[in-house]
Amino acid sequence: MAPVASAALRSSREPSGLPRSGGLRAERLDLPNGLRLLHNRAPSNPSVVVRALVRAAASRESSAAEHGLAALTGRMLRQGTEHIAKEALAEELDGMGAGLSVDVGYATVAASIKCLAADIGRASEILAEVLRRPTFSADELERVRGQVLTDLKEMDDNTRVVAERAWREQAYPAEHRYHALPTGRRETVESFTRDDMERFFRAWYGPNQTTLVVVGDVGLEQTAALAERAFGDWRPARPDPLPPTLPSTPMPAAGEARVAMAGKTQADVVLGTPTLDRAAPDYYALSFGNHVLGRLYFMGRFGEKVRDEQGLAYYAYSELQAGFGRGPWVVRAGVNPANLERALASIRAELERFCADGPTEDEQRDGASSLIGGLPRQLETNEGMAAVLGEIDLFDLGLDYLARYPAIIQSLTREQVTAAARTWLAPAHLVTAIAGP
Amino acid sequence: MAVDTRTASSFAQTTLGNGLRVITREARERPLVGVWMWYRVGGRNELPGTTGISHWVEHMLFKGGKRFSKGEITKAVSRVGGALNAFTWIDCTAYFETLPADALDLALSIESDRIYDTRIEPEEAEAERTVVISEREGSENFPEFWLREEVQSVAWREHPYRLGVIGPKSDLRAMTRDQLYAHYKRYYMTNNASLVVVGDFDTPSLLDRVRAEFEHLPPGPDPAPLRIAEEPQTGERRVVVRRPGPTSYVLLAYHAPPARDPDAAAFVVLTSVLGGASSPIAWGGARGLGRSSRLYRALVDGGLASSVSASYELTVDPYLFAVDATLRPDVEPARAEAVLLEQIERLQHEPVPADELERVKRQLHAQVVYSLEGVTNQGFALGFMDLVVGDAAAWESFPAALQAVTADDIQRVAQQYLTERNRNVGWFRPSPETA
Repeated sequence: MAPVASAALRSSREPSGLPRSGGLRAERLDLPNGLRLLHNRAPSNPSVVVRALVRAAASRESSAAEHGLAALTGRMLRQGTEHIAKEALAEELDGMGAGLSVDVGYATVAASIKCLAADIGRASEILAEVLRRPTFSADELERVRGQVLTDLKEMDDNTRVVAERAWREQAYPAEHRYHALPTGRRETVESFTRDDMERFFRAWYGPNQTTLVVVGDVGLEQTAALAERAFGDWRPARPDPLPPTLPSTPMPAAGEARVAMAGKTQADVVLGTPTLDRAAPDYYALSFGNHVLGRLYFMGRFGEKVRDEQGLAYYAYSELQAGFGRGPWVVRAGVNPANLERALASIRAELERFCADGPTEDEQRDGASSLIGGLPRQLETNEGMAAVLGEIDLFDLGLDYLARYPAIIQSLTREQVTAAARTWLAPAHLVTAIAGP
Repeated sequence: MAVDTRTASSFAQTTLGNGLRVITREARERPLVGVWMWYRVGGRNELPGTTGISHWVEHMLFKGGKRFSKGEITKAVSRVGGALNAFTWIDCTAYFETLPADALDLALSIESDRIYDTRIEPEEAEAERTVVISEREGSENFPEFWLREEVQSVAWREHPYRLGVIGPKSDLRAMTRDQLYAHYKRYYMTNNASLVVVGDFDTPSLLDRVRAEFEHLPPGPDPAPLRIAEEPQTGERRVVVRRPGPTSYVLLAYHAPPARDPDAAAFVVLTSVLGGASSPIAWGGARGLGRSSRLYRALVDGGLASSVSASYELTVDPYLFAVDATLRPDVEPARAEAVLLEQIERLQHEPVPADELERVKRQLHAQVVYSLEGVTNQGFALGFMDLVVGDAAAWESFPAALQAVTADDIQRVAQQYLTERNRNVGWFRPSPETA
């Protein structure tokens, strides 16, 4: 095991960029089996987050018939392993006060343990056990299937989820994984067998598909030794790590879908378009544009117009989920049906104005200072730091990313931001979905 | 079990001549500061006709005062990379800013300005009416909201806790700007507030700055204490909510002791035995704990529910201990209710075994540690415990009291409080058109 890189993370905006202890230093180590380790020592709270990011998520599913297989496989990880029965696992974790969570997205499965620093040794072993040796017991599968089917039924009744689904169905072609949510559908979840899960697990879970992020009150040397002990003899499932890419996709035609739901009082709106890959040159300019449109101050321009000025909604904001392939940019709002048309018109008008004129000088200046000045706050907690390290790893941003970040943001011009919005948020490709009464 | 010194070192407290309580704690690991302003007003200070008024006033405190015009508060905080928000609860209304340490004065000036000088312009109040109604309507889209509101409404005959925080639409449609302004003037004053500052500062110099911003402000007439006291419940109350929905939900709620009561600690531990631990003193903590808890075993592992929870909040007046379950679509509420009751009766009949109690205490210890990560969370814990217990030192003494709870304590409070006559039962049943 040899250090690959080590870089202090610095912000140009002293003094708020650096912790007093100078401890905001991230290191990376690679194990010979291909597992990557990213570590950051943060001693201010006596706890640790140990997070494995495995590229075994929804984008690995081979067809629509497999939708939800990655999510169900992830959910089964903690239902018993070769060496620890499900009940014993629950008792041991609770006995340490450690929380284990498994979240399955499009690009990665995030299996995390949050524990007291003193328990990191056993927590690492448990994390390795659930990632390497789940048994996928048939009885447990039936039980978990029942829970997932109930969850899916609740999602069918949730206006936000129904609007999101309807939006994705219009925005992405049926063969693209972003066409559907990672959770799968009733029919697919009912169809999966234990063998399906075993096959998926054997194909995709392995050290060279995995990055271990460790943040908290633990040193690098101890972390490295623990990683070696828990994961060192894990054999790769496939010879080379596959990049977690998704195909690019044609841009959709503008359109609108409305789903009527009984018993609801509020309509949830999702309006947006597929955009770009995280690696695209325009990413930072578009991300900055999204910040001004949907986040800056209080939910950006959408919040200012739709909530503050017109009082049409409790929430109206936007987000850019640039990942692999064309990630979505969407505005989300919850509005009374009587105000729906006004809210939609207001959102569209604000977007058009932004594409025409771009950010104001004030917005450009405040947007940059809020993003750069906000870094120490974002990195204050172990979870926050682990999230950033995960992003650095997934998108190969380099360990000096946080040091470079202020300069990246400061270099953006209003013209670049306006041009990116015109290119990627064009009305010709705007898709709208509404679910509500 | 000792609480780690890094999360439990002390704080400083002083009260200004105008009654403003100032609680400070140096936490110098990072160049950040968390500022909280707590007002002792919330749902418990409201009456029918103006229910939801505290929450609406909270929204108005972002709309401008003397030194900050409309929109300026959020803009100024954003410019320095800060974050801000506020929340209203049954017992309090609280505002926070998290900022780079060198921008601390900004937060002090915001709070000093809006305590007395918020304008509440009529047209701004009107625009906010639909925003607050929209906030309520967002919650109305969830079956659990209807069930919780219905159970709350029968659990008390008199106490304002039965009205909740957001308020019914009829009140939200009818309230006037002048009522909002009168409520603001009645409760927002230095002698009804606590300022909490945690972070990277030197205490004497911070206190100089606090005095410069707040000491000249006059106190107001003390708000009248709440006189409504609920008589003990004298028999089980049951409600059924029938609405379109995905599945059935069951909720059991019992009147429970307030934060100051010596039984509060036993109640937190009892709740954790049933549903897994969460931090009673602050938000945040680890997810995924509590799979060895009794309700998870009996209902989720038992194939009856997709999720369960147990809750008990630290409150000023007696509030509710509750257990709830989201049932699998083929499970009848009566069956799930019987299993929930079985688990509650078990607590009354047998002491919790030592190893199980130890496991639960360890969870509570860990969740408290996790919940104190960061200046904002620490500020919350100090301000919240000051508000509900009347003493910020409870942010350390209450977690310590949890570790001293015995199996006998748990059995005793289960027998005393979790009785049929003190019980409120609610079922949500999907109405036929969507079942």
